[in-house]
Amino acid sequence: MKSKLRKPISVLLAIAAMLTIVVIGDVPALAASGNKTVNSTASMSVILNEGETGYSSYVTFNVSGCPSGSTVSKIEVNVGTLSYQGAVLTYHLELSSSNKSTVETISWGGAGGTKLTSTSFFATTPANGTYKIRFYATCVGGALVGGTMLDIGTKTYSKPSIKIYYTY
Amino acid sequence: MRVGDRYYGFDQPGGDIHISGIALPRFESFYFNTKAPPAMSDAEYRDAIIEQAKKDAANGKFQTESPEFKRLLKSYVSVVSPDRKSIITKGLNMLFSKNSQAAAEKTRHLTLIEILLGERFFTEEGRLKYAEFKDSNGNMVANYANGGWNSYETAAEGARSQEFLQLYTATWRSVYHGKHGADNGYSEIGPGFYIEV
Repeated sequence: MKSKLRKPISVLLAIAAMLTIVVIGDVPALAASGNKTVNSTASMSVILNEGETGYSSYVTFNVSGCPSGSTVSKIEVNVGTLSYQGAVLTYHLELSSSNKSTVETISWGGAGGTKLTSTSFFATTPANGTYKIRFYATCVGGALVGGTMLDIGTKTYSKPSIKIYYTY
Repeated sequence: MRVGDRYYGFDQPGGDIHISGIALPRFESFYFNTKAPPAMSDAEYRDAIIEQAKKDAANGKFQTESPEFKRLLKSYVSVVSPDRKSIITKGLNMLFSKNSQAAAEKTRHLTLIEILLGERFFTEEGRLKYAEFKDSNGNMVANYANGGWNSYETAAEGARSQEFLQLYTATWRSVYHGKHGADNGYSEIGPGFYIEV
């Protein structure tokens, strides 16, 4: 009788021990999330000689008001409204943050109103901070102005915005 | 080590050391890493990161708001950084040396300058206007533009940086918000009583 009871009792004890560990184990808290958009009235603009490659001017975004300890999970940049004269090819956007030592390069064909996304580069850096954007381009053809072909081209993206997705 | 705090975003101004009129980057700055030997073992770094996070949380500072955080992060990541100082110094010395004629004429012979500068440098009226600096894998790690410097991250730097930030942030939040679940995998369910989750 004793030996017949031992096995089921030991099994029950093992199950009870397992359940105990599971029950009193702490459930990790899920991180909260949010996002913040900052709009700019400024522009990224470049003037290049034909055949010249270079950077545009930059636009600065000051992001504040995100909860204490909040960190970036994703960044979206809306490049703004495009205007140009001549043929200027855009290669990429560059994005920097006051919370990181290096600059991110995001490939882009140059269309206005494009939303460019940065996913892992600024991950886990503080959401609050200063961000800057600019673009890199080549002038392949000058502008035609008043019937005269000039040897310079210009390109401008006006009123860009940045959206910071964060967790905290 | 004094770590510069000024954020420029792009085209960081150089420091006091020049090569042919080009001011070299401020390698001591938080915003420009170059390879450096580790200051401690990885286990010691881990402890230091946790202690820094606890200290910063107690003081109400988060990550780059704390100068000590910046120093420690730079020290940790620089272990795997490319030797930007050497790459840039060698590249500029070659470019401006008396024997740089071939490079300046952009010959098709593979020279040290072309390797270091990736065949992408532009001059205007004898002044260097733009130059890219690449590591031995051909990845751009820095460039010189508009009279200043930009630093570009390697995969190793990115990975090491994330290790640091994730450990620091998890510890910081645990202390600052009084939440459980710091890096050690233990959860406190009562005073002096810990269960391994």
